[in-house]
Amino acid sequence: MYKVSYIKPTTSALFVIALVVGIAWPRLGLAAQAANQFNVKVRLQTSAPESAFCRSSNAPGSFGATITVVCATGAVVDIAPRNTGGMPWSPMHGGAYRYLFSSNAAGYKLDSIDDYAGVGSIASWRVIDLSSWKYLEMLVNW
Amino acid sequence: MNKLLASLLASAALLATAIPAAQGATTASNNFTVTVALTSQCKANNDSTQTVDFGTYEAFQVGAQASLADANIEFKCTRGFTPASAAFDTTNGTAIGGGVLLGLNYDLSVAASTLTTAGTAATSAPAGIGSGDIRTYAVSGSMPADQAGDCATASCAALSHTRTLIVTF
Repeated sequence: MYKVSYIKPTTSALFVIALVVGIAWPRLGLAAQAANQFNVKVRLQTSAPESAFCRSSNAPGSFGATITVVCATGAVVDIAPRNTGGMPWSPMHGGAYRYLFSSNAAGYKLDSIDDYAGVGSIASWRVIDLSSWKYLEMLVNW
Repeated sequence: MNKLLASLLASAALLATAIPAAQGATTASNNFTVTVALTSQCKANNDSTQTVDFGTYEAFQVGAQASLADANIEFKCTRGFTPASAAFDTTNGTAIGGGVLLGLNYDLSVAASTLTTAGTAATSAPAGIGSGDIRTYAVSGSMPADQAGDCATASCAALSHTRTLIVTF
């Protein structure tokens, strides 16, 4: 009789505790969560995409000479000559250069037309009159 | 005379008793209670994959690289309910948003959620269940400058991995 009366209250108490914990667990225990996925993306480039300013050592006419090309980015560039139409290859690589444009006429330097010095394009022509060996030279920049 | 009066009174009493049942139905009412407890919830809602796109990172670049496109992560929540906090997965990075992709360190940040679409209230009509609030978390990222990265060639194609935004409530 003693054992029975002892066990019953204990079992009841455990049941009540379990019931209380079971009800309270969602609030007292781990908080609820919701998850949503997304992507993280990147492309890595280890060198500059293009080199605009490079310099090379000048070795005109020297067969088999080694030419070192140094670019501002430190990248090695292709120095194979393009089709130059039989003209000697000029050791330079692409890009745009800074210059100061000035004009000349009959050996006299004229005033500067444009004092701007910066990147741009330049082209020149020389027309020669073979009968009198007169030159017409034209230099255009833009 | 007395007999006649007695019979008239008896007839009147019978009619008075029978009239309520003959004229219309009577009603009686009894109250009861409808009760329910609601546990607020949120669940993922994006229709398409969202991407934090860092574009192209040039090794050892001088400036930090901010994400070119951010991810808008949506959750559908109980109307009026806002999750307590948001954090990132620890599978491909850290809970506070750190990660590495192509050998490049990046940091994600998430802004407080905004209510982008308010839910509609339920109605008493059949299937008038209404809809939940749509809450959006904007996730952006940044890559610190001067990183070498991992790439065996001049450039490596875009690489991506999956991150997860976890809201707690």
